[in-house]
Amino acid sequence: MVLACKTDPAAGARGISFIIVETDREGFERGRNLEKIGLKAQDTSELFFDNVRVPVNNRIGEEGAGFSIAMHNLAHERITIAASALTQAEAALEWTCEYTRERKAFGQAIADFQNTRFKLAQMASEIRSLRVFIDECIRLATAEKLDGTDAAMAKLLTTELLGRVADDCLQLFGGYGYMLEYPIARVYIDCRYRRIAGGSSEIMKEIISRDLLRE
Amino acid sequence: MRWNRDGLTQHSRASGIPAARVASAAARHQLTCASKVDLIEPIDQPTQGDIVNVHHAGQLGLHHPAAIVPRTLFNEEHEMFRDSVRRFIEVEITPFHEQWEKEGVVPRELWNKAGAAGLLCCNVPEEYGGPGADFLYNVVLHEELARAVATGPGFAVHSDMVANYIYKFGSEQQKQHWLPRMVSGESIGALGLTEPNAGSDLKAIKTRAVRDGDNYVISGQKVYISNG
Repeated sequence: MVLACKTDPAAGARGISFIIVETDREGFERGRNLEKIGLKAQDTSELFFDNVRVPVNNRIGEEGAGFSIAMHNLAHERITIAASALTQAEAALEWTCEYTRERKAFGQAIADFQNTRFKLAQMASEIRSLRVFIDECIRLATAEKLDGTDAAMAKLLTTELLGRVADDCLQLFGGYGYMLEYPIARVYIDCRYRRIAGGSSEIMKEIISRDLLRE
Repeated sequence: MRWNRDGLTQHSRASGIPAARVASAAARHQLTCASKVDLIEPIDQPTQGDIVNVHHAGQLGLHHPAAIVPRTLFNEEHEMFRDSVRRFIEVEITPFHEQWEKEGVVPRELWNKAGAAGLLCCNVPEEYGGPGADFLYNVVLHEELARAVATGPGFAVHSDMVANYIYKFGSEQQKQHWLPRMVSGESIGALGLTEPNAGSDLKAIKTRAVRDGDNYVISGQKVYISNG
C-alpha cells in the first residue's frame, strides 16, 4: 500500500511523503472492518502502524513530494468519479422509465401520472446536459488537458445529481425501491459516499470559487 | 488485444461459475420481481448457463427520452473492451456481489481474474506488463461497474491512483517490481491518506516516518482504507 506520512512535521504540505509499505511487514496491523451504511462488499478498515521499518527506497518521488503527487493526479481521479456517477444516474433513470411504464396503480401505469412524467423529464434534462460537459471533460483528460477546476465542477455536479436521481427514482419504485433486490436501492445507499470521498462537495466548491475569485 | 472475446470467454469457462448458484439467483430474482425480469435487456448471450442480468439495464437507445447525447469519445476497440468488461461483470461479479456484501470483502481471486482479463491498470505501458491503453479504457471500466452497481471491487484505487503514482513518480526499480504485479492482480494497491483527525485536510496527518539510516520507521493510524 501507498502510505502518506509526515517526514518533516514542521514543513506543512511539503513535509508529506508517499511511502510504499508492504502489508506483511512487522508492526502493521489491520483493524476490524468498519460498519458502513453502504459499499458493504468493500473491506474498508482502520490500519495501524507500530514502528514499521521500510527501506528509504520505498519512498515514491522526493522526500516531501507526497502532497504534490496527490495533487497531480486529482483531476483524473475526479473525472473518473464523475463518469461513474453520471453513468449510474443514467442507468437509474433508465430502470425507472421501464418500471413506471409497467407498474399499474389506480388503473393506469405509474408513468401516466403527471408527477412521474415531470420527475422523469427533469432528471433526463439534467442528466443529458451534464453528459455533454462530462464527455468534454473526459476528452480533455484523455489528452492530459483537464484542469482542476473543471474536474471539481464535474465531480460536484454529477455526484450531487446522482444523489437526487437515486432519491427520486427510488420513490417512483415505491416499496420495491426499498428492497435491496432492486438495483435502485443499492444505488441509493452506495452513492452517498460519492459526495464525500475523492474530495467532498464543499471542497469542490472551495476549489471552484478560489479559481473564480483569483486576482 | 488481451481482452478479446475469445480470451475472456476461455478465462470465464476456466473459472467455473457454479451453475446451480447462478440458476438459483436467477430463480429468486424471478420470484421477487417477476414483472421486471423480461424488461431487463441482456447485453449479450452469456457464455454459459442462464445468467440473468440482474443489476444491468441495457444501453439507452437513442430514441429513449433519457438517451444520452450520441457519444463520440469511443472507437471500436473501446467498445470491444466495453463488451468484455460487461461480460466479465455478468459472469464474475454480479452473481456473487450479494454474497460479498455479506462477507464484507471481495475474494482475492477476483483480482487475479480481473488481471487475466486485462481490466487492471489499463494505462500501464507494455514495458511494465500493462496494456498501455489510453485513459478512455479506465472510463469504460468505471462506467460499466457503475451501471452494474458493482461497488465492491476497489479497482479505482488500485489502477487509477496507486499504479498511477508509481508509474508517474516511482523509481525504475519500483516500477519494475510493482507494476507487472499490479497489472496481473498478484499485488493489490491500497492508499492510506485519511486519518481519524485528517480527512479533506491532508496536511493535518500525524502518521510519522522517521529516518533511521537506510530505513524509515513508520508509526501512526489510518482510517477508511479499502483494499488494505
